[in-house]
Amino acid sequence: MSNVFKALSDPTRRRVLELLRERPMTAGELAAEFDVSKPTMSAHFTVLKDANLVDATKAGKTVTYRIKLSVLEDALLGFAKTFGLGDSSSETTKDTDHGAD
Amino acid sequence: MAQTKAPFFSTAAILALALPLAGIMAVREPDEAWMFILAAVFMPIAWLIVETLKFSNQDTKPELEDRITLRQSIRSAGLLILIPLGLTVLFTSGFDWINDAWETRILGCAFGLALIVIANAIPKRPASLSQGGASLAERQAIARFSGRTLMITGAVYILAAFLSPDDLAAFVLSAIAIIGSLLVVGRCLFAMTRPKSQA
Repeated sequence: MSNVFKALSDPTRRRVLELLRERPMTAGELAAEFDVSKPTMSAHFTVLKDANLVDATKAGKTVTYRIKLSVLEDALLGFAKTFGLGDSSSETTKDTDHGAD
Repeated sequence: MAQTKAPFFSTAAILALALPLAGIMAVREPDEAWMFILAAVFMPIAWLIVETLKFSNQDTKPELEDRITLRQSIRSAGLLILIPLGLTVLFTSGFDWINDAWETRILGCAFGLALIVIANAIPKRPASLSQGGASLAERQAIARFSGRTLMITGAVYILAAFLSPDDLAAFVLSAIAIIGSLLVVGRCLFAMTRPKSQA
């Protein structure tokens, strides 16, 4: 459970989950939404996978990420977003409207 | 491919429990034997229908992920049948100090909790990447809606088991379960009839 809290405490990872809530996305599509380096993005994906919040399916060279949020984890994501947990860190998304506030 | 864990309550365990429990109840309540037998044979029959009609047809044969999801759904339904069946056997085993009102409350509480646990896990399963049917986004939305709706249904079911008048309890509890199920079925039908917007 602590892995889940750790994963949800970061605005970038929360934004990744929000994007994946809309539809499954490839690693490239997700990375294009953020102004961070590939290794940093990869680290975020690893944290989300360790918390069992996303599923990564590899087909050839493409990795497709799918969301794996239970109802309670989804509620926790909404809670973390509403109260801006971990928002002291810098904004990383390209689209300011989609910030983690 | 999503990793799958061994289920907490296996299908074999559910079958091994449901059939003798239904047998016991059929002997104890011969007038309602059909109901208990129907409950016990639901899972094997549902399984057989899915295996023979869907899985054996090479044209419509689902991906492994879809097969696992279908089997998990049947197992969850079997578990929801097993809980009231097991409790009914318990209640008819000479526990006279448990009156009818408390039987309803205990049964409602156990069924509602099981529904909450199962509903919570519904969106945890990633949307299938297989082609056909609803779009991926729609599949995720359906899973989220189903999870939330059935979780709320479970919570309301528990509350109603404790709060509804004794003479109306059976009707109220049935109505809550039916409304929750209809909302989920309605959402699925809505997705099926809507044009596919994205892959």
